[in-house]
Amino acid sequence: MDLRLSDDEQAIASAFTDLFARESSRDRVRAAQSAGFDPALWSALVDIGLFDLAIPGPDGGGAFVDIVLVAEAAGRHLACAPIAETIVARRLLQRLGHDDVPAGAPMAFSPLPAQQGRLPMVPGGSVADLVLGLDGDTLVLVAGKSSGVEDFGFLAAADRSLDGGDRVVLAAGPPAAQAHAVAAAEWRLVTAAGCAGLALEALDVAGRYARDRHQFGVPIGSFQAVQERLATVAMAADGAQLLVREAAWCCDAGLPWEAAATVAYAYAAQTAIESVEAALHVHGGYGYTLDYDPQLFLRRAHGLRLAGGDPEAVWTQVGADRVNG
Amino acid sequence: MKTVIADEQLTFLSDLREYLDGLDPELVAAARAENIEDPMQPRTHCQAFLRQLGEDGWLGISWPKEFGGQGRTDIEHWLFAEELYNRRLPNGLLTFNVVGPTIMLHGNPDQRREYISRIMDGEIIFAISYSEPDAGSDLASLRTRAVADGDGYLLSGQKIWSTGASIATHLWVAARTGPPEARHRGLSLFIVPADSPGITITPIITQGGERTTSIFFDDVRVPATQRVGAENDGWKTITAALNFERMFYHNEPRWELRQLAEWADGAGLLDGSTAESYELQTVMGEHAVDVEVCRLMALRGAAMLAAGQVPYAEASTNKIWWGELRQNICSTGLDLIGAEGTVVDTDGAPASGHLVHGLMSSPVWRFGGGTNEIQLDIIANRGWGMPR
Repeated sequence: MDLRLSDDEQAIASAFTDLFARESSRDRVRAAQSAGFDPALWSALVDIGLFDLAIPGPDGGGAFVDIVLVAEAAGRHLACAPIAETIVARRLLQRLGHDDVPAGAPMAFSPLPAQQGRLPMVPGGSVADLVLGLDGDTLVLVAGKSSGVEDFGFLAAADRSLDGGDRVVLAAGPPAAQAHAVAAAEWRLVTAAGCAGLALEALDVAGRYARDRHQFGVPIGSFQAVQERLATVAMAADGAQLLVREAAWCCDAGLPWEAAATVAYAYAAQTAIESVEAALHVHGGYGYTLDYDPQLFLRRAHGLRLAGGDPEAVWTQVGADRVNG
Repeated sequence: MKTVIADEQLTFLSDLREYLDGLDPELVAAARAENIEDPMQPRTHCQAFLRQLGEDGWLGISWPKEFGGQGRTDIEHWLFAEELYNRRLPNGLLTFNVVGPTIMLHGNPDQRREYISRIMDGEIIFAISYSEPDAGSDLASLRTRAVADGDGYLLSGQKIWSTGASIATHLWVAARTGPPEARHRGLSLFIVPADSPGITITPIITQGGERTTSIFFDDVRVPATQRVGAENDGWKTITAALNFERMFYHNEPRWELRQLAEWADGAGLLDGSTAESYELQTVMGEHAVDVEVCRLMALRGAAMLAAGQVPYAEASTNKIWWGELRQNICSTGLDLIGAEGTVVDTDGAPASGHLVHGLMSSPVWRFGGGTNEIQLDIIANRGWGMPR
């Protein structure tokens, strides 16, 4: 594996980093958070060609390393847009030969199967008309509306029903489960990339504060207790990014990658929470206020971890993959 | 092992429970809801609840009878706080558990007479004003100045994290009366009416929903009679009050663990032998042990106070333990509930949204009352004799 980015990959990372810095500034995130969706950011992502980049087409596209670079940047900037869900759903539709979904439409997707025909708190569910999910042994695409709740991770999550409304069966039986499993692994990998980006950004914010804030006449970053806490989570965030990029590279190289995606997600989601908690803590009381940003990172990190299902069950899956692999 | 809780203290507890059970259910429900929403800001219902307790003789448990208290030991005071926490009802917080006891310790006879009786009547509520924008853990560097002027002082400067100041009648203010290089030997402690001319209080809203404040003092006149302790000798008053604050038992973790148990019961996870119920019971068992350790640490502190000793490292240990426990319970609890627990809507949300609320408000206890790193320093220095 070669973890150095190529010139093209660098260019993609930097273009999207610029875009998110501009279109998903903290002020924009704060303005969009109760909806969990920023329509202007979404338009900018469509215009720059995110979905041409992320979905294989006649002119290329679809490289997973590119996707995780975009997702890392989105995670760093707390993007209010169902990026992972839409990418994963469209890739799945394309594999199944359904290419009649309106270009640029946000989509909702859950890596979890429906329970009694219902997907609880599916990310993107409150803004997307289209939700793609596994209902029993059928994979369905359903057009409808959500109940319109607010989720504290501002992921535009909402409950969606899969057994009513305008419903298209995409696959049934074992092929449905298999197709959903691949898409779920993709979702975990893209979401893991967002978690890794979020963790790294939280630590950058914390590092800046620890260098600026003075107590006892010196920057608090010079105290060992503060250094050790940040250093411990910085190691973990570094590890999370490595796991994400390795899994993406395996995917592009045609090697087994699904189990690595689950490992990356389990670890990156946990690391995101630990990194944000450390960042919040370094800020002391300021980090606890709504005026500062750690609360945004904390809520998003918890939301991203819970969107993938019971965190213990994700770790159990990691163990089961290891035992059976 | 010596008996810590004697029979008469258990009788006290059962009398207290009987009294609380007999209170007007509407008053109790309204006070509880307000207290859950923002425990640091006792507003209409919480104040009415505390006044009711005062009228019925149930406040000032460990204060002398001459001040209207019950004249009992600190063990009963702790049992009282624990019982109210267990019901998630207000127990007087900083005014009754921190400022009152410190005035009893370091106030002069006039101050004890005036403030203790007014506290007991529910007439005054204190907020604490130590921290400043540039003086947090390094409290001895604080810059708010009290300059001698006639028979009093003029107070100028800015405070922050003065939680409860939005509803307080009085502020408990640390200010510099000596030169900056004297550090903690140049500080004095003042009681300042919150409506004094020259005071501006602005709110800061936190992620847990609680309101804290910034306070600006612009040449606020404070009579010398409002100084607690000698001039430049305020540090011992501040540290005594901080130890009461850290010792002061916060039992939200126990209450939150119960919310989790009730959710699990409703979800059918407490019966049967599924993997989920086994996992849940294991996690709840671990947390229940931590809650019990927390209770014992607080009881140990209360026993020290009752014996006339001052807990230092013990207070810091207690503070770290409950602060982190609260976060652990809410975080693992929310993980057990899953994504459905992230709905921002208390009606119909799992466990009524209490675990999400607890999770968002729990980080403050890692630095409120002194960062846990400073507590570790105190444990290392005062508890274990490590060199500074």
